[in-house]
Amino acid sequence: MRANRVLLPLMLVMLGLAGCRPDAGDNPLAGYQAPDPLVLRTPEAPMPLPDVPLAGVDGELRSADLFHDRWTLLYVGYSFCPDICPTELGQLSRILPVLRQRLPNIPWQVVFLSVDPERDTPAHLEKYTAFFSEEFIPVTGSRKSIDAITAAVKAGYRIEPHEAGQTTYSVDHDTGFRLIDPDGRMLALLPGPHDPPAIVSALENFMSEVTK
Amino acid sequence: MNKTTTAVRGPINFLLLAATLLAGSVAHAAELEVIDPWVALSPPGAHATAAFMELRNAGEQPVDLVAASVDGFQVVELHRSIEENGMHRMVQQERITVPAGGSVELAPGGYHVMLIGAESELEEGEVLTLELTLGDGSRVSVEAPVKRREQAMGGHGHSHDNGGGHEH
Ligand SMILES: [Cu+2]
Repeated sequence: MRANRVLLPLMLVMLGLAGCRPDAGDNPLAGYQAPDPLVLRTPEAPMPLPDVPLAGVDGELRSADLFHDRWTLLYVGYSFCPDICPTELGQLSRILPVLRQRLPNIPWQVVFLSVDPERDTPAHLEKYTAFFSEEFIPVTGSRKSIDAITAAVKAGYRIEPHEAGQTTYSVDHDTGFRLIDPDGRMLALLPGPHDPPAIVSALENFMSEVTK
Repeated sequence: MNKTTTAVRGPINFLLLAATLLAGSVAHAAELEVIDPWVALSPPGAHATAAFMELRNAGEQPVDLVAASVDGFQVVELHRSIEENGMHRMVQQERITVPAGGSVELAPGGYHVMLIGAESELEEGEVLTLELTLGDGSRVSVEAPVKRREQAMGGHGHSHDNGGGHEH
């Protein structure tokens, strides 16, 4: 693994608001406009995630299986993160049960993708995420797999250059929650800061309008 | 903000005190009030956590927080979390300046004292002693209980509006 890596963020600016496109076709997002784009933003079209191998608590898994048949809130971070990741995972631990209660027919899951496999082993991630919720699904993977996923959902990150063996480097990362549909396509970005009640109502709204 | 914990220590020997009084100024430690200090309970095996508090400066000069130390951690640094274009990063701070007559909040999503490499796992309710070093060399010692974030934050989101540099 290379010790030093810079992946320039593909900025979220690219996730422009959905335009009003009347020709819907297979595009569930056509014509959808979030009432509050500061809470939920939809891209022009669904953004498919690639099928790559990932490392989970029970060993290797395919991203196509992980993001299949469920609605996912995906958060990208790293466990060394002392401030933002614990705060965001704490928010997600409050959001998940409320979503399940309000939208009981939708199978929700929260996936935490660590972009720092050098320090975040699956076993470590399991302990880490269980602190917030036993139901969170932590995954990481090879740099190649991580980059394939983060590029597909336009989540930027940058690992601070460091010497091999140094354990205190930090990682800049994207703080958005990403909404992935049961076909493994990203349909919306929920940018931070995350206010759980606002997020729940934005998702309720979105699910009732876009996923009939 | 309910509890106030302020403990002033530091180089207050009589001569120095007399000298500073004569010079018409007071050691910065005497002007600084530390409100509601707390340390975030970290998940098991976490490598790092953070201490938060509000700093109020009753004096007529700005006061700089320039360093902090806590027993039981390998590294303690002053940091600021910033968010730009949806990207979060942490920037180490040489100083955190509390304006004269004003205050600065160290809160999740903004300024924090970053605690790296705990020698033993923190426990909820445990109290850590933080030694804060100010720009004039004086020191303030505060007792910071370990709390769960959601408890300390009262269920609110992280405060991007103070020191977070957040923008949309
Ligand atoms: Cu930090």
